[in-house]
This record gives sequence, C-alpha cells and structure tokens, in this order.
Amino acid sequence: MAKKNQQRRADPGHKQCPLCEHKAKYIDWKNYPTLKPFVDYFGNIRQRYYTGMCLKHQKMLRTAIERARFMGVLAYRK
Amino acid sequence: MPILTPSSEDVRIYEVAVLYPYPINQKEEQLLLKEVEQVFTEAGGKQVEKDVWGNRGLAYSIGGHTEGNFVIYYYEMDPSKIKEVDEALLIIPNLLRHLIVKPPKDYQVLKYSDQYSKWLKERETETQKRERETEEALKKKVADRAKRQAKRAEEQKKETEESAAPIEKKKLTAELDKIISDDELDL
Repeated sequence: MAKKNQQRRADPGHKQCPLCEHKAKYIDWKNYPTLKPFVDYFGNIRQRYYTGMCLKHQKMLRTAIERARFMGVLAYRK
Repeated sequence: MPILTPSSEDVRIYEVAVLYPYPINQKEEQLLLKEVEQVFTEAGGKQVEKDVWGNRGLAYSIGGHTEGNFVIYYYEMDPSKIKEVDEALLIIPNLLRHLIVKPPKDYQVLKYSDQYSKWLKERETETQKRERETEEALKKKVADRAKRQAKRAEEQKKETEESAAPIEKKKLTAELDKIISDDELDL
C-alpha cells in the first residue's frame, strides 16, 4: 500500500488551506499583500481548487476582494 | 495596537473608508474632511480612531482620477443612524467612494504605514531568502564538481599505475634476451 501511495501524485484537490495555517478569523479588504496572491493576472479570484482554500475562507476572501475592488485597491478587470 | 471594543451595548463600532481625489487643494481637502466628520457628529458618532493613508494609485480610474487619498475612520455610533450617514456621504460632492464596514469582534487596528513597512521588510527577507537559496545551490554545484574531479583524477592515477606496473623487470629482461638471441631476426 505504501508503494502505491508513493507512486500517486499529490492531488491538487486536497491541499491545505493557506489561511487556516494562520488561523485567520477575518480577511481585511485593506490588506493588499494578503489579497494579491489570490487574484490572477486578469483580476479574477483564483479558484478554490488551485489555491486549496477552505470554503469558509473563500467566502471571506470574496467579500474582502469585492470591497477592495469597489474602493479602487484591486482591479475588476485588466 | 489598539483593540476596538464598543463602550456600551447600544453602540457599535463602524469602519468608514473615504476616498477622494489626490491632486486637491489643501483648503478643499480640509473642507471635505470637515464635512465628512460633521456627518458623523450630526448622527451622534464618537471617533475612536483615524488612519490617514495618504495618496496612492488606484487600480482603475474613478471619475477620471488615477490617484486618490484614503482616510479610514473608526466611529462608535448607534446602528439605527448608519443608514442616514451612508446617504449623507453619498451626497457629498468631490467624494469618490466611501465604504462602511462592521469590523469583527476584538478587531485590531493596524496603521497602514506600520503595515506597509512590515510588508516591505517581509518582502526584503523573501528576496534575501531566494538569493541565499540560489547561492547555496551554486556552492553545492561547485563542491560536487570538485568532488567529481578529484574522483576522476584518482581513477586516472590508479589506471596509470596499473598500466605501468603489470610487466615485471625480470620478465622484461628475459623476453628481451629471447628477442636478441633469436637467430631468425637479421638486424
């Protein structure tokens, strides 16, 4: 069984949540450096599948990014 | 870092962000900020904290402006009055955007300038880390190469010794004698 596990590639669907590591309770829209890695070149929010974010944090991230976009901190579209 | 907690149960703490254009007269700026603060005082708000970001570039042009000034207020006020404040802020001319947010319980106010300097430091350390890693990789490469060369040199030495050693002196002389004493060779 161990051999089988070694051969299998890491499933991108089973990553650790990058914000659960810091035990984030709230994502601030004013904190640009934390939001930036979760936005791609075109200004879209990165999918949960690729970042490994948990659903709770993804929802918080979405509100934070939308607020930041409204205030002109992040772009809607590049 | 001040932690925001409302003084009584009837009031809440609100975070109000205000954005106005950057190239602006000092007089106009003062008037605008006074007007904004007046809105809160009329609604019976009490200022807890104020954070001035200063001018920074916008991600997209708002009302023809590519740069803006941010000011973030933390006000303590009655939740029933917040709607009035929101509407009053909408009417103020020359105010590009405003955003009212309820910060979570025990929210820590971090001054933007402090955060920025902290972020810069982190970024620096990150770049330093990358440089260190590349340097380490290079060193490892050099060391590996040196090791390999040493190994090769040793192998070569061994080979030369082996190739030189096999024929012993006695055998050599005997064979030479044999060749010399051979009658069939006409030298």
